[in-house]
Amino acid sequence: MDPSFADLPSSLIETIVSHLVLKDNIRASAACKSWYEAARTVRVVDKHPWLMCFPKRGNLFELRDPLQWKLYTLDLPELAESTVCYSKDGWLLMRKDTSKEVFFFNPFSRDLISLPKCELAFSQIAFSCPPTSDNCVLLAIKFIPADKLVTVSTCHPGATEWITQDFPTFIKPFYMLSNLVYRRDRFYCFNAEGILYNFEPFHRTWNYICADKLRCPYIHKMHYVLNEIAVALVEKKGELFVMFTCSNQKPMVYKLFSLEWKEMTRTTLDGLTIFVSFYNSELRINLPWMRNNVYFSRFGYNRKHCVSYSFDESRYNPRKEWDKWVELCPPQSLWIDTPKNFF
Amino acid sequence: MSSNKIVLTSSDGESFEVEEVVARKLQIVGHMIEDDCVINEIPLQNVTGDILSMVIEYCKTHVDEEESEEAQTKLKTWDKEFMKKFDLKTHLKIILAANYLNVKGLLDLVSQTIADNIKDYTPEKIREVFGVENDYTEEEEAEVRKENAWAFDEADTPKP
Repeated sequence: MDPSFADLPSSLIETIVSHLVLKDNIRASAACKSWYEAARTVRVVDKHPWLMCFPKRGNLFELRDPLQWKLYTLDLPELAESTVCYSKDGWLLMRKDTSKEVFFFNPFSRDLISLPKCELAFSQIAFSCPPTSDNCVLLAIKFIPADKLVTVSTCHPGATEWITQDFPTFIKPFYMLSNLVYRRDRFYCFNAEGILYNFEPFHRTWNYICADKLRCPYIHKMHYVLNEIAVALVEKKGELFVMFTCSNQKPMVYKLFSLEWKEMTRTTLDGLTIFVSFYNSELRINLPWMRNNVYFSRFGYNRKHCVSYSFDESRYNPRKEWDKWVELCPPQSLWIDTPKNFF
Repeated sequence: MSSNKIVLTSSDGESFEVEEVVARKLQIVGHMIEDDCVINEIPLQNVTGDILSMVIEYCKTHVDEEESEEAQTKLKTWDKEFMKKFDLKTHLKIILAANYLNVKGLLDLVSQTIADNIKDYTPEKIREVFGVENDYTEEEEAEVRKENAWAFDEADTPKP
């Protein structure tokens, strides 16, 4: 008797399905339950980050799943009297309020990695990769517009001090500055005037025109005050994206192709999901339920979900209940990658 | 090295005399040789003669895999042509045989071939071709489709 495909052991269905691209994998999963199981087992999908909220006082930190709105509370006395500065790959970068000492903290493993005191009153800070990796670098920057300078401080885990240096930056700094992101071998920063800066830590070079200018389209509308404008820079797999929004205007998303910024499809956002916070931004591709959305770190009024803009529906959910960018992305919360099977 | 001959016998009693290096490509046989439980005839219960001969043809071609790019390209072309000779039903028999006999290269090749053939299939087409039954309830299937609605063309999404 001939065998039929229905008798295939699940390991062989998995082997076959593992050769399919995501879209075909999903379609195959709708055939029947055994194909669903196989397809889910081998499906490589992005995981969305969680929203971590920092309490005004006390040590209880809330972690919110932006999709299910599940809540986990972490008691982290290690973070007492310190302020968060950045997050990436599940690590937090913190600064002690009084001593200005900087340290890495992993809220899931509770590993703490100390760094020397950072004297620079930086406006932006970031790190390249987890501090447990050999080539982790930190960068803190502060623009000094009056002197047309930028002060740059760098450090790495195990170093005894920060190395600080001034660089001329002849382009007039503009105060709507994005977060810093690391891509390939350097850090990038963007401002609403449309200038992309970068700093390469190995040779210590500062560059201030790294791509064509892309002025925030909401700037010329004079009735918007500057502090309503949000600029977020995002890196994913070596690609750079920038998102602008202003008050309750539609977020505009651009992707960098060599030197040119191109707008993402206005109607769909090409299947992306962007998570924006005061400190960091994350981007995911083809997330179930969350495609074509920009999520902000603000809670809606009823605290049942965070504010998002849906490109499919062309609207914010919930509708406008904020004015300023710091209300849309308040400094009390950020997006954090959670380790597999933590919850 | 002396070239020992080993006889492989299929479930329907067909026998194939092959060199040991070829037989070793079947990891199930390789392990038997290492465990010294080989006399010189190996019965293979779960594979019929017609499929076993295809597996042996694959193993003979892949017996000395050269590193050079040219040889690799040539082998890849041969692999493609080899797979083209068979239909989906035969591919199924080969994948089961490659799994049972533990021939890693052939398993990869045939699963890639099947995947290439079923890409762009709708769930209905997969059920039809593979003879699998839809064991979802209507609600469950709608849920699976809704979760990733973008992957389903509008044409094959059930109308509400």
